[in-house]
Amino acid sequence: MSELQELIETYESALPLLLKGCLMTIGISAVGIFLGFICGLVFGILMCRRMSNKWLSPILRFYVTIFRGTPLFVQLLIVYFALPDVLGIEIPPVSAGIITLGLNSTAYLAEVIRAGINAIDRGQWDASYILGYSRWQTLRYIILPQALKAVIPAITNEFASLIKESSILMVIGVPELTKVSKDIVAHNLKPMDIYLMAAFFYLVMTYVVALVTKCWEGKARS
Amino acid sequence: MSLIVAKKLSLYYPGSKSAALAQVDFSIEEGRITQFLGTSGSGKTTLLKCITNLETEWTGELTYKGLAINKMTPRERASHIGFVSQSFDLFPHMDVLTNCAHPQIMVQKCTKNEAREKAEQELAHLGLKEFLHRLPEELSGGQKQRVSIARALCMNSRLLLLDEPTSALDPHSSRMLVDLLQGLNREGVTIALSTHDMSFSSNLLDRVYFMKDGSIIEFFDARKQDLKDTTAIRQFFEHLKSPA
Repeated sequence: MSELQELIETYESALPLLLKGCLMTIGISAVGIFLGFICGLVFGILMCRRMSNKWLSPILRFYVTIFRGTPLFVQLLIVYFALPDVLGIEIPPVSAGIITLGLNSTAYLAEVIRAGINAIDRGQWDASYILGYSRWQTLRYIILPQALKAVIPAITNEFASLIKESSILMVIGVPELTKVSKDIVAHNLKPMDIYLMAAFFYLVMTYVVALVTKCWEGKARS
Repeated sequence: MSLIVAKKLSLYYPGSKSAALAQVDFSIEEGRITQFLGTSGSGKTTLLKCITNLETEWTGELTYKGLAINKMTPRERASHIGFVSQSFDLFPHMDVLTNCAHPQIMVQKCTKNEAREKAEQELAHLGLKEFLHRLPEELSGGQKQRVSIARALCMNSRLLLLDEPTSALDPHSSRMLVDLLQGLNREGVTIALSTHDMSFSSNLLDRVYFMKDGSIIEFFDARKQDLKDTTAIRQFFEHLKSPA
């Protein structure tokens, strides 16, 4: 059997499993970024200059500092191993993975959204106030549409990072792309072929995210 | 009739020992054009911000038709007092028509159709009929300013405040603005503005308060006085006639 034929056969047998791993990676990252966006939006609003609250804002800033200043891997170990121990509950690996990615991206996106809101010209708040808008109407209809448009690239960058960072979920047994690749290698003993293929899939996923970002940005501009 | 009356209005910015406004008395009379004249830093913009309640830490008395300005709700204030800032502050993500219709829908609870109809009327009145669906970034400074004026008028404001209205305009747009404000005033809109533009100011002479270092140092009423009888205001305009 020629080397090329052997390579084709390896990929043919590994491809369905790798694609399944890709789907798991995308699913986990998408749910993680969704949770991160919703919570990050609320946190970002409550941390911005105009809406900050002297009691709540320091607590949120503390949360952001903790989650941005510690490794995702350690956060994962705490959520999967330490928390169940303390709370006396069992968290399935996929759920633990999603929670960790969500908590982590909340911190990053809260900071991005806070900065986006703060960057909106003060005159927009003043004009809305003089026209009689309430604070929440100002935020909902005037400030957020402008701020979110400005932070689209940062949000999708975070999504791309999350896709790559989700590979560490393999340590708790989540069947995402890296874990699936490792399992295949353990079976066929062809690390170079399989890991290169996995790397290629990661590249395709992040490239598609970058492409969608570009289209989204163009649409938002027009 | 006085729309706005201020008595001993004072304001200190945090950390500043000198007053931004020092015991200022003034009034804005219905149907007239009132100017607050003076060099930069004399307190003109601060004074307008007090009327719109953007500045709230003032002391003294400030009323609109006898009602304390700071006791009015934002909605009440918006339906009486319109404000056009130096930078016009249009909402960049909304087209011209929506800029004028959206506040009516949100604040005055008009229906979408009522709001759009009124916005179209006001915009057409100010010569902006062909710009209804343009975004603010596609407009010139003068056009943006007219949209900002239309937006204030859409809220039924009969008192229009303008802060340094010529600061972002070329001489031609400034002349057009004079005509526009005179026209609105003839239609019954009360106008109060701050400016240090002598040429612009001289074309709208009616009631003038001259400000310096947060105080009003002279008042002139064109219906009762001759400009020759004033000191600071006359000197201000003489600079215009005989530039150094």
